[in-house]
Amino acid sequence: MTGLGTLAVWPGPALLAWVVAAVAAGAPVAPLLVLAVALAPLLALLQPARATAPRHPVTLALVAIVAALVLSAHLAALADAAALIGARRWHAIVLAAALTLLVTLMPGARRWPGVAPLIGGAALLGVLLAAAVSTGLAPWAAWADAAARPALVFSGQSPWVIEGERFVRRTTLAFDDGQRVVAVAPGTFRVVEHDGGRRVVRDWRLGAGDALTLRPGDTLTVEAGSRLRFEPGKRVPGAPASGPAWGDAAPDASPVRSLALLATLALGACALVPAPARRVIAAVFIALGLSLGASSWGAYATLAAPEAGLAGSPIEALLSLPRAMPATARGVTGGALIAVVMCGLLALFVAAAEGLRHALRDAAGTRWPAVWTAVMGGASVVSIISVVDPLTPLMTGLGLAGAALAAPRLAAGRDAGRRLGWPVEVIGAVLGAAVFAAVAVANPPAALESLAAFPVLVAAPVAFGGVRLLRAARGDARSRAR
Amino acid sequence: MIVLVLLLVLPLLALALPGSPALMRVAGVTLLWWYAAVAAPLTAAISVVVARAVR
Repeated sequence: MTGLGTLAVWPGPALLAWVVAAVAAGAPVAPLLVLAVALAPLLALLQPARATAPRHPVTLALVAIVAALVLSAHLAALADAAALIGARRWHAIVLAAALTLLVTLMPGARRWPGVAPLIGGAALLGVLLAAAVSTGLAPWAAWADAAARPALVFSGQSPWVIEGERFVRRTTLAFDDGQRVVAVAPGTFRVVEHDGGRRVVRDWRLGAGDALTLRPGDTLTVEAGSRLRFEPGKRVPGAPASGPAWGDAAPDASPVRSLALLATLALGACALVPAPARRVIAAVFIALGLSLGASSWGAYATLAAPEAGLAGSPIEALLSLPRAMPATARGVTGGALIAVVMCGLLALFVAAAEGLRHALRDAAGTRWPAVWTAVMGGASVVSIISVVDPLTPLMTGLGLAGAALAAPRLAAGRDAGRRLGWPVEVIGAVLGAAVFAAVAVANPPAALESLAAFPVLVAAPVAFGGVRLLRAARGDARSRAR
Repeated sequence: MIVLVLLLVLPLLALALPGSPALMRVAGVTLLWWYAAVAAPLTAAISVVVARAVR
């Protein structure tokens, strides 16, 4: 497998959308996220090479669960994108899953493992270049311009102001200044007012065209599918207070959460990205492109459409940039650029799925076509039935992969042997997965909430330590036998 | 691998320093962002190429 194909498992639509959305929103964790997403696959490339992973039903089950979680995260991101452009969620899911199964099960297609990531990368890079040409600004100049704004407000040309936009999922908006919002479609809206320290909850049923006036400090909860119109020149709810606050991003990030994020991404990459045999240079350029591309996209998106995160899905940040761009001199319209972005995301999904298929093939052996089809089918059905934030299955999948696959593998080394009839690495995988599940469903006290949000922080050290202990015990037994 | 781990945890340490040096701006962009988006990935890329060449 080439370096390009190896790393293609990493920058899927959900991960890419998450990074761009974090940059565009000025999230406290955004700089660390960009750093971790770029460095994690490079860290995985330097993993100690090993002969073969022990093939075992437990390993196969864990790889299948991880693959299903990561696939459903990417499918949820594609479904959100479809909903934002006015299509049905299930159309995008069925199209992406069918295309991917066709590509991954077709013997001839596997001869060109680098084609899908190349198409995806080129499509998104093209839109980024169009943004640079359209604004006439280099990425760092766009960044400086966005960071110099006194406030992040709705522009008069924003689709949220002109015809109103749709919320992809239930969202709560916090208003820093007074604003009059108009319901474009009938719906129920919950307003929480803070009247002299007293919390007042009011539910409003609005018809199309009805308005709601919100005061500074109010929150508005909007159901999925609702459409609202905002006032031009008013602050974007939930956005940073000003351009400088957006540009600074990091000071409020909690150290434990930051560390947990780094651990989840680094170990998740170590589990999914195998050390490649060749073309490391290509892989290195992908990682660099990811950090520079995502940061630049976020800066242009903030400059052109500071309301990029309003709809409740991270994918909106990717789509807001082509939407907000004026038609260029060559006549490329926003609609055409949105189509290019959608094609790029679809290609990145196929590429990520191909990488996951390789991991599954290594675990399943000759049965892989049946297992792979079942995993893709299961992920598609789950994504159609449940409308979840793509981040939830993505972080669960990467965390589980880190705790149950990467940590035991790194601890086992080349030859950890067997205990109780099972390979030591598999025992570590069971331990990691069990602790991960227990911590994830536990209801810890407030001081330990970060651990429940990122169970990999507990599960990975337990799995690693367990395997090391079993290895040491095996070494002692061998010494005594001599 | 150690270089890459250091590059990952360095911002956590830098943010704990008094005076917030990571938030100084160069060409309108904070040092933290220059580090996260450009300097650290570039250093990591060079480290990986060198490490693979040595192997």
